[in-house]
Amino acid sequence: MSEAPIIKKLEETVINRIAAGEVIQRPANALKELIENSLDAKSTNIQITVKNGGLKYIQIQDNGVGIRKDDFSIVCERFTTSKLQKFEDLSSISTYGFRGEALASISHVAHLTIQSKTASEKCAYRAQFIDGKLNGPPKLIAGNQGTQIIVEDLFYNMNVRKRALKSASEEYQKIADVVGKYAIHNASVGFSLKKFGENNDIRTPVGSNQTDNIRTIYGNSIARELTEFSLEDDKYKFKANGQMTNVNYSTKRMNFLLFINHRLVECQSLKKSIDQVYTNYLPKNMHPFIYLSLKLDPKNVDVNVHPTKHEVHFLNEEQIVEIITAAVEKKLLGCNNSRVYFTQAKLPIVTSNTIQSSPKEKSEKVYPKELVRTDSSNQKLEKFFGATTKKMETMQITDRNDDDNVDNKVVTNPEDKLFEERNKQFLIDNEKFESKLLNKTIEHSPSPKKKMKTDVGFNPVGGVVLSRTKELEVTTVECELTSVLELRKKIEGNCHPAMRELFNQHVFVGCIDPSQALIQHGTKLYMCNTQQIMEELFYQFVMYNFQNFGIISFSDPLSVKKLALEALKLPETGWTPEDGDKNELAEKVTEILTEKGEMLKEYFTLEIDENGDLKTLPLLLDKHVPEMTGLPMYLLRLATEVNWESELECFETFARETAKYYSFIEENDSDEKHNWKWLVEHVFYPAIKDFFLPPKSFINNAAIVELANLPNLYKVFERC
Amino acid sequence: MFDLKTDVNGVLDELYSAKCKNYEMICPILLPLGINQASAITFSKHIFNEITVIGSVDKKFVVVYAKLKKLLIIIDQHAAHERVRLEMLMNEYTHQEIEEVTFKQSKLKKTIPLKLSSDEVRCLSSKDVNNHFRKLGVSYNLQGNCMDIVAVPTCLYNNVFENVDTEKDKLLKLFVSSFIKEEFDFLKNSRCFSKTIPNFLNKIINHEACRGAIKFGDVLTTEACQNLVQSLSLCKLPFQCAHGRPTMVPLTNMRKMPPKVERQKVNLKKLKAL
Repeated sequence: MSEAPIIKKLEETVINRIAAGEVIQRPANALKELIENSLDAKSTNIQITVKNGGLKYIQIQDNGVGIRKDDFSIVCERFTTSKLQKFEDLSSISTYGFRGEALASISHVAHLTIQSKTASEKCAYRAQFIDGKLNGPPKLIAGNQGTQIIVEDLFYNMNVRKRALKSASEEYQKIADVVGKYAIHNASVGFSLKKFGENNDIRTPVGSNQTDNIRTIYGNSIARELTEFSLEDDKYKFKANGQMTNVNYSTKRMNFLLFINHRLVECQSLKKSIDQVYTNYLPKNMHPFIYLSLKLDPKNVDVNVHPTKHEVHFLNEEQIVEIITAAVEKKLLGCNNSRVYFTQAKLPIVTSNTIQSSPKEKSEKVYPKELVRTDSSNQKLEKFFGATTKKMETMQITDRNDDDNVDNKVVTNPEDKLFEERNKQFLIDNEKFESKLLNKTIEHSPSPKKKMKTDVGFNPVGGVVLSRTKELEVTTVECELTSVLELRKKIEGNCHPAMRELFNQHVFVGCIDPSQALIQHGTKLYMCNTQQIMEELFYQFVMYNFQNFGIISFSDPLSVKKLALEALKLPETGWTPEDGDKNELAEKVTEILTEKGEMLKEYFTLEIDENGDLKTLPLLLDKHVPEMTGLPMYLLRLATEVNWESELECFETFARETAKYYSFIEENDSDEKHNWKWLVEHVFYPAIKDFFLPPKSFINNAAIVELANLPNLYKVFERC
Repeated sequence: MFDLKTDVNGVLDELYSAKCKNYEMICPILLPLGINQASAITFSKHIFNEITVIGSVDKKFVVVYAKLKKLLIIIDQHAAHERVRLEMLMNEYTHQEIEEVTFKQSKLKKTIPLKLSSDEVRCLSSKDVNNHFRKLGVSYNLQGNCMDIVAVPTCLYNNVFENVDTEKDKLLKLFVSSFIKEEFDFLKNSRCFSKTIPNFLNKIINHEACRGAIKFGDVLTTEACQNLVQSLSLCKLPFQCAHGRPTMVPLTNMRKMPPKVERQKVNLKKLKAL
């Protein structure tokens, strides 16, 4: 058995170095102590410069009260402080420091230089310290109000510690973390941090606020999702306030800034409990950002439990944690707002590049986000319900402005066969589409039409009777007018093939209002200007059905003059006394139109008899009757806007005006089966799908715009 | 035996991903597209008062229009229904009083014995801990260092018995043991009782909400879309699904659409000139 070793007292420097090693564990600890000293000295601006992660050099410059010249000799000795006088003061401590340990510890593990000027001194003093003692007397030097402390070669005499802290960037990260947190908590104090010889990494202005500082330091993605909270509890005597992110923000590592009585500390129980609250609302393994400043009665806090002071004990911890957690959850659920989204500032316009013809790569893997679930050839059941009832319907149209209250019955008759026949031509396989498309545009023009007519006196009761009359009356007129053929050619030449495919294979989504609707094609969602498109389509119908229109006939012919008078009353006409007497103008309208009556009847099935009464209108699209409210204006514009002089221009302008009139739909929120929504979805878009030849001008005039595509939507909805 | 915890989470995850595989991929979170402060849009619950359904896109999303804000919004039909179901299930499985949630419980046909460590036995002797487990819907008899579980939260029970085909008892035991273990862990770490719903139960209810929800590819009629939006508007947190993903995202602001082209005025002069 060996002899018991003798107990000796350690040398003073060894004791101090061991103690210092406990207080100063890494550069960030040293800096934290120095920042706290600066804050205790009531500084409003603190500048920090760091070299090599703080291992080589830390400089902190403040504008606080400074250190008096007489105190230089003992400022770095252990247990010297200006902040605490007797032990009892600890229970009501409101400064950061209280032990008189920080500078002493630093001076034992690094080369320390202090330069300071107080308000009463004329100039600054500078001194160097080694192991808690002055190294030579303080020297006079020019300097600003406040204290500058330089810590060089940290841990120069502790090789093991120095080697353990080998990554300068990691240490710098920790320093930046500490500075950032203090900058947020002491928002009124300006902070700046930079690497030696580089630009500021952190810079907060003097007199800033917490939200702004969080934005500067942690970024806008956190700052814009912040919610402020505060609570007070009388029972346990504490106040808490801070900033928390709402459920829209989440990050992989929890960012929890906790200050208890202004001390940056850690509290595992509080952190865990708050995180637990968030797990129920955030995506898996994601965490929030929280800044919490807790003010407890100093009597209830024991700050002296850890050498680096980063842990404190306080009374009633369980209850306080519980109260705070409950408050956080309540606040979290109170956040009714959605997160912030960014819509495209500028609307993308469809270009020929974005619309690609059917993809040819077959071997490529199809991701779910690219998988299109709808089929453009699908039809909805509602369509058929609508069609059958429509047949039985007799529309009652009242000219609301007419005092005579003339009731005009308009009877339309659907001709399904005609459409089915043309439909067949357009049932195109995806693969063969391209080649067919070329034929299509040409095929389309001279396709034989059947002429059908419905008389007023004839009451369409049953399909059987109808179909018989159809066959009897079928006559097809080939159009041989060069002007019409020329106009048709123009339409075909102007057709955008890729957009043609888009319209041909679209899936209808829904209407926003009578003039806007959404369609889907492939993985893309488009918004279409229904009215603009229908105007083009009706124009094309007029051209291609030239001389072969169906008939909408009025049970009681309408006086053109009366209608023209109505039109002149409308404010949009812009009639002024200078334009002449309304009656005279109306006479002129009747005159012009009656004169052209024969031509209009033959070519466009628009019949005006010799008495100047309107008897029929052309049926451009099955199941569609134009809005009667627009009829007066239509007739007026026919008289004024159509160029009756030259053949080609006459047809073109007539078709334009007609198309404009027919494409107008009124928004009436009736619950009828065949309100405008039904019309747009089940009459307009199927017709667009089958017959429309989109002009190239659509690329630029926002008639169709791309809103979104499936891969992007998957991204926004965080599906992959 | 408590080492099984990781496995149980694995089982849950597997169940979840297997169900989701057909219509979604679980991937990391991405920020919303393109950052442009000028057009930042956020909306509150009030938005639901002005919403009309426009239609369904690709059997995946529902497009709606907020008339007053002139905002076109797109809703993820699965995420939205998941949220609706989650809140419905929460109501079904718990009694919610002011700041206190109590889980309903289901009696077990056969008790599940759990061996406890001495720490845990000591923990159970506290009245607060007893109370805590009662609120979570767990009933038990303590015999020495063995906890005989008599009843478990209904959500946990249902999840095992209504949805798993084989080895129900084994899975139930696994679930129960890891659930209790997690609670002990939490009590030890935080030294206090959380009033929030335990992670494990939350996960189970989330899973159930997801499983029963409308999937991508399910055809929704306009009425179904309207119902979905209506029930979403009644949710406490309508803007995110059970897994924290957004349920609805604005597509575009219609105010930014180009204005309508005005029609040319009628040329009355031409008439007069005749």
